[in-house]
Amino acid sequence: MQPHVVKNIWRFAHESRDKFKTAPGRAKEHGYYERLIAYVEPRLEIWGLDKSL
Amino acid sequence: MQNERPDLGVTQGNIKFAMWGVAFLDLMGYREQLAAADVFPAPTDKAEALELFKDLIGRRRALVDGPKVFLAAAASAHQTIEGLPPEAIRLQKHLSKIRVATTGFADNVVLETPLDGVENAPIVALHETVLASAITLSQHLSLGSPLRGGIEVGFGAWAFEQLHSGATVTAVNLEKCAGYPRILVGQRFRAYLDHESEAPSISGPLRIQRAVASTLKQILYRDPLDPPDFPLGIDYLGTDLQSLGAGNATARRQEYLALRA
Repeated sequence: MQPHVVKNIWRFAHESRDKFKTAPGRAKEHGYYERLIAYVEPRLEIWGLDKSL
Repeated sequence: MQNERPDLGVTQGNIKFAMWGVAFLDLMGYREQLAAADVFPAPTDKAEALELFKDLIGRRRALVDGPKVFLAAAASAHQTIEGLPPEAIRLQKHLSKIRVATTGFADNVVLETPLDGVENAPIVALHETVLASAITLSQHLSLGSPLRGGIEVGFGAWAFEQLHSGATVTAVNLEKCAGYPRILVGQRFRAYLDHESEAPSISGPLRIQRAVASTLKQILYRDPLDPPDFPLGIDYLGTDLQSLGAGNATARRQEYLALRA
């Protein structure tokens, strides 16, 4: 696996979180992507990445 | 009362009983996406219809083909390793036993591997199943296709091209309680790793079982946001899985096979 894959996941997690943040009745999904961000964030360094999107 | 059920050919001779490793992977949001494509009146323009189904079909294809490609490459890598003792050939053949099963519904795939016969070091196939699942998850997320999964070990019967095992049920239940995109593992999976990692340090397959079990234990993680006693997950972006990445995978497999010597 390459670092760009991890960066794509990081971006996708943010995009999804933001998309569901304002979507009516999708609070559950919003929470899912908050959790995904919380999982990925401390692992960015392992792949030599920063928190930029 | 007499048993009046018909004999459907279920005999000992056509059933394989064994412990099995099962991974269940499920595309998130696929059902809603599929329901949204059910437009009426149906489009008459093919290009318009393609737009409705393009992403659905692509997600499904990647779900099934991803693990297949990974497992085929793993089996091929084993076959190309030269200078192995004859015993290792059995292990190589065992790797080809990982089955990528599909159901009638397009949003999931099941990976199944028998864990019988310690002489085959079956944990290597379980290891490949876990890696295939983890890589499928990361690749899908990278492409904007979220999925969740569950992995479990359990006793089961293989008959008529179908696995019947409670491990599949648990793997499905784990996926359902995962919440966000990730892969959770069951208690039996962990117990199996604990048992195998404590195997006596002798040469041959038991040594492989122990080494691989220890490796797999290292890629499990506990999400600090989960309640206590919640199932552990596969740390698919963690340090230990990174070290098992593409560049190292072949070397690691060679190492396992060389342990046969």
